[in-house]
Amino acid sequence: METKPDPTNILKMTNIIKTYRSHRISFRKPEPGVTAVDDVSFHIEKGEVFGLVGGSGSGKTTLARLLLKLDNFDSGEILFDGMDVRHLKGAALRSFRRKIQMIPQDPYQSLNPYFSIYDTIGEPLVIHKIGDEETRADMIKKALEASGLIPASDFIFRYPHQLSGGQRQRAAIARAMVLDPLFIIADEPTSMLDASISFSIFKLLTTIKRERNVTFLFITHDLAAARFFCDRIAVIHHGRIVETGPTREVIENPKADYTRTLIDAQPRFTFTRPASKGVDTP
Amino acid sequence: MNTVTATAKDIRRSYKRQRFLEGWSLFYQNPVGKIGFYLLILFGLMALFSYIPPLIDPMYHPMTGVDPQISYSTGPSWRHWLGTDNIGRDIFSQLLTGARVAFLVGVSAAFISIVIGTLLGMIAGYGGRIMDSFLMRFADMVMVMPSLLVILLLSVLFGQLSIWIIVLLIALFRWPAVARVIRSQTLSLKQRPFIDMARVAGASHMRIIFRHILPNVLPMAFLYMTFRVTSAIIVEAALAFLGFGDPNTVSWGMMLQWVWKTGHMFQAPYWLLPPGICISLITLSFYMMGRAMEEVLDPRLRKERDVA
Repeated sequence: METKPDPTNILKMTNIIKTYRSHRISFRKPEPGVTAVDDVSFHIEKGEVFGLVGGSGSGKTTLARLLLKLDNFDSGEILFDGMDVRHLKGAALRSFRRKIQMIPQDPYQSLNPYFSIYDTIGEPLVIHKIGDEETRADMIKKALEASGLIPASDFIFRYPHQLSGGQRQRAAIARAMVLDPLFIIADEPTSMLDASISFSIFKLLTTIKRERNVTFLFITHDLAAARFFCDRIAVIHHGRIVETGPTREVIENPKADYTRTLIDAQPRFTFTRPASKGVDTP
Repeated sequence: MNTVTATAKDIRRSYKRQRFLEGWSLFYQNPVGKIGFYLLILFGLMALFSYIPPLIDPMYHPMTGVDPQISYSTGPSWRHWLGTDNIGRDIFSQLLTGARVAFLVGVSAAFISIVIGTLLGMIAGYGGRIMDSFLMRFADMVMVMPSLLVILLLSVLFGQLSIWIIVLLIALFRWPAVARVIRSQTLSLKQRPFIDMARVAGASHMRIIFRHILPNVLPMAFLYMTFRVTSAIIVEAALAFLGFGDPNTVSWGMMLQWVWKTGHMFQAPYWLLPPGICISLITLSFYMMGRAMEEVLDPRLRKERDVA
């Protein structure tokens, strides 16, 4: 499936449609199903952080699943690093899996409770047959330290239930980074964490972005986070992309109504108290 | 660096031991589990001691040993603690051997049915759709078959079945319930994000089933094994009592059949009661252990007990 790799774009999605249907066999007319992703096209350049912003149920996680080949799409084309994702099989699929990794949403559900941190982070290395047991241990330690679990020897043999939420998320990041991927999908990596831990995770992701040659697809419902982290963003609503552009431009000069709604929905801190206007000010 | 991998194995082992000890202490705090466990130890000792009487005197051999001075059923005495059967064989010795057979039948039949049930359940749950419907309809078909009747018919057709064939048949009829439970567990596990993460890492289906799903369903499989032991022992006893057991083994069901066939049902309670009580108690013991294990595995049940 190897075609010419695009020199500037690492990922190109064209006219992706995905409809979920119930698998119930029925003698009546087939049900229409739910179109989660409706004719979505965008591209991501090498080395940039691309944000996908949208509310719940807008199809952003579905898009990530399609991109990771966890689900198949109905029509359209995804080109990743010169590979046609739809038809990947066997060795090509394995090499695809090595290049693209994911940072999951929920650190409490995304680690196997029966795997120690050593096994969790080492699993991708075992699957892709990288290194022997000694070099693997070394790589696992380095990945842990790079994701801020220091000293690594304190964490390497723990089990998920012995870690806090933030530590689990760091372990998940270490697992994603251990294969040294080209592309990382971060699916709301901080939505289950509190604000201060979210901030430290963002700092970690920024460091990873700066120090390694990684492209990010950052999925979020939070425009503030997108503004902090992304170079370009796409706003997705009901499975359609309503607006794409450089982050600053989209936020400062929104063209689509939905983008404006999102911006207005952002909480703002006003430090000037609305004083002396009566007690019942909202 | 070698130390890291060496410690990895050590820590994994010590973690497993710790988990086991935690589970065990919860199990042991539960009176139901404790009683079941002691009963089980009692039967285990009986099975072990069953090797001793024939060594003391060949007349204590449960099958072939006949007391030369006795040719009819006698009550308990110092020479024969539970008396003798109608041809002068020692009932106590037969009872001990029966424990050995019960363990053999119960545990091996349960083990085989658990292996089949867990494998098929995981494949059905993980494979989904066609595989799932096919395997589960097959399980339904086996489940509704009256197993005792089918085994009876088979033994009528093929003559006396050996104990191992009986074990195998029981196992082959008793896996569907396990498969159903394991399938439903697998279905819910399959939706958990760590399975998706394993796929993203490039794990094969085999790896996902055996490394990720299997450890998560194994406790449930062991729980069901204790219930399967119970049903296997009962089926074997029923078969033997109806006269279709292995004629070369002394099982409790077989003893009951001898009591019945020789017409000592109401004349020799010392012959009738011990095997009957033993069958009840050993199934009770496994059942109680299963219930206690269930509480260890299901935290919701545990909470309820703490409140009460």
